[in-house]
Amino acid sequence: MLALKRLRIKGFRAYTDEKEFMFDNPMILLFGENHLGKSSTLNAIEWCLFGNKECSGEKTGIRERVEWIVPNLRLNSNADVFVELELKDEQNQVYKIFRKWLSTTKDQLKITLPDGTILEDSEAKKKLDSLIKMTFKDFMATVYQHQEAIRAILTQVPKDRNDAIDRLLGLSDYRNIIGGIEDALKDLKSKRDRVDINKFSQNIESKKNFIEDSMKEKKEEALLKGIKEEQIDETAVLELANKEVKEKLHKFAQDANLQMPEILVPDHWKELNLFINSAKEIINNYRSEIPEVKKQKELFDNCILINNLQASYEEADKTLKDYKKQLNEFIEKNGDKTTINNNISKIKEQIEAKNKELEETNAKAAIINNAIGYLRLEDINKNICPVCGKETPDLLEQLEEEWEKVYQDKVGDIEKEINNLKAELKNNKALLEEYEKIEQKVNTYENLKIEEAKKIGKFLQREISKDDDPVALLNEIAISIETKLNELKSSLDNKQDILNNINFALDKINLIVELLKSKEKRESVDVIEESPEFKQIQLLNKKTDKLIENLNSINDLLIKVSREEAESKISAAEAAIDDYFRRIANNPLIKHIKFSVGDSSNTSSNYYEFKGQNNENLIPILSQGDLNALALSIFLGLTCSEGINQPFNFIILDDPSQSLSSNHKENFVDVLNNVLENRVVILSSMDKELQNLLSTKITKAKTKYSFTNWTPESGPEVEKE
Amino acid sequence: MNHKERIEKKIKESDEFTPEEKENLIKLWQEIAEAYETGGKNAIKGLISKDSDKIISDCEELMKQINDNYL
Repeated sequence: MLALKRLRIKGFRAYTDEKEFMFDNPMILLFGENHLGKSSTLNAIEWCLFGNKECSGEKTGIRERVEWIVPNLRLNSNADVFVELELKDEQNQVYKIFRKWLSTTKDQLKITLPDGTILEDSEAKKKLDSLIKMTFKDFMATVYQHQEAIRAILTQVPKDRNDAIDRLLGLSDYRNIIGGIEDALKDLKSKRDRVDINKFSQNIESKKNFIEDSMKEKKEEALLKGIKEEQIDETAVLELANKEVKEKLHKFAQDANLQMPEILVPDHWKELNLFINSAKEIINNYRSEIPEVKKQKELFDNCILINNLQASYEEADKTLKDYKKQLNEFIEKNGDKTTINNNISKIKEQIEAKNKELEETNAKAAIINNAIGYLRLEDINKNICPVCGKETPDLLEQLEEEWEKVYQDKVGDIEKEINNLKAELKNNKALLEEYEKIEQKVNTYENLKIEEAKKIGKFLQREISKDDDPVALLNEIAISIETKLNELKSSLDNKQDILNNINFALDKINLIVELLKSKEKRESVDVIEESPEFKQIQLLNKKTDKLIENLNSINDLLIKVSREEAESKISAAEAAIDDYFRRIANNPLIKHIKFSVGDSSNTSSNYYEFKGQNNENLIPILSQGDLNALALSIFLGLTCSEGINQPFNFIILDDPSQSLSSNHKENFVDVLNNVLENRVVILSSMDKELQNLLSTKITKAKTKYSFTNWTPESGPEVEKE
Repeated sequence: MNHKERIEKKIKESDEFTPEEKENLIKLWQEIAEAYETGGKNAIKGLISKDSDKIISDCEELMKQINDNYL
């Protein structure tokens, strides 16, 4: 076994100045608060032995090693960064291992052998591997218990705890590779699904069925259209196109005196679509070019014109009659225009007379009113008339009586009469206006009727006199047109039937072409599975399946080997683990702990169980301190049991008492005394209680390094005791 | 013995595979172990898809050809 003798560190992580540590006693203690360089000291040992490539990165399983920085950040780029470790074998031969940091991907390794030979780089690596015979993973599992390993065991999440125990047992590579293969398989299987030959064959089968169904439908349609089986033939359909379309179109054009059609039957049935479209266009053109059609259109246009003329004339006539009737009724009620004018004149005269009477009455009333006012004055003789001077007895009373009886109301009455006359005048004027309006309407429609009659005359090409009935004349012409139309219809129907028949033949040809296409498609689909492309897909599918099978085989082996290794390590160490755990935890409920590995119900990874003496699951009842004790027990059990081969005579414990209670710590120190019988223990802690216990209860000789301070300029300040 | 050597040994000792299958399995395993060594767990998926993606895309291309030429 190799023992540690001396450690020199410069520029490595917390270190700036060079520092030296001697491993000259069975127990080496590194005490101090956090961030003073204790962990950097321990990391230096593993870095010197394994280098950057092994000690840093995600694959270490240690979170803080992701983007781990080796050189102290305060140093300039030219400064030396190195660690030198002296190891001593059982023959007291000393090997000096010197590792210098050059970059994140490169470091320089030198080994000085006991005889003074210096090996460098690859030779040095080879020698080192043969000396220590241990992977970094195994080192972390059985030599150096990292504080993260303890923390990871303390978790309540089964997956995380199983991961941590796998790491502790040095099996994390298996777990990681299994995970990687399972991810790859999942990805591969989903891609494989996209190109699955069986699904593809099913699609082809569906397509075949679709074509069959479509053909069946078209055949039924063909039957209804009178297409015989022997006509569904490449040659027969061309013959049909020639006889029933081309020849018939030619004859039609000839008989109807139309332009001959420019149409050719193609040599191949696949070109018939163009032929069909051309023929249909020709038919459409012919339909509008047939002479009977033109004539028919002319006659229809005349019919429409006749109807319009008739309607307009009758409309004008009816409206005229209505207005005439209205005028007669008016005259009957109100008199004619002359009568109304006479009434108006008379009323005007009456108004004039009344106005004059009013004027006279007003004047006289004023005089009497003034006389009364005068006579009412004091000292005036009431009997003498102020106008003529004549004396009349009781003149004032007479005048007052006359005023009251005659003049007071007379003016009002006259005015009333005048207003009545004015109202009557207004009424008559309104009547006159209304009369003139109706009269104007009558004149307008009389003229319109004459105009409509002239239009009819123009259409008929003759004069329409007063004695003529234009509507009757139009009716006569309409009957004549109808007769002509009936004559045309028969001839036209005949020609349209010929064109319809040719069109029907085109529809048949179209259907036959579709059937031929479907037949061709079906034949093509039938041979897909014999095609080279299909066979190639089958081969590639097989290749992928084989790859999946191989990956599964490898995965199964990994699971099996990981399980076997776990079982083997647990078996070799279980007695020791049981002993250490019971002594450290000292839980009265737990007389015995059985540590085993099995299958997880939902993953293929190792699943670790801890059962008590009654086969009960212990994890739910273990406290955090007990779990800490368990982590320590597993580590100590693995490293110290006789069944485990160890190249080193030392173990490293980094902050082992994270969740231990005081009792746990005492028991742990007691256990350490046993461990120290066979191992050198290097222990780092900030726990003062543990420090005291170690200082007082450890019976073996101890070297104590106190980390008292750390400064950026000089790094850790360490005192040796 | 590290995990790589252990698995190789298991393959060689197994009586489930023919000699040819063993050879292929060992080769594949070595590639997986190498990828893991270099790039960690995630590199394994990359390794597998490097070849398999070509197979899949070839299949897809052939299926497309069949669709175009026959269907």
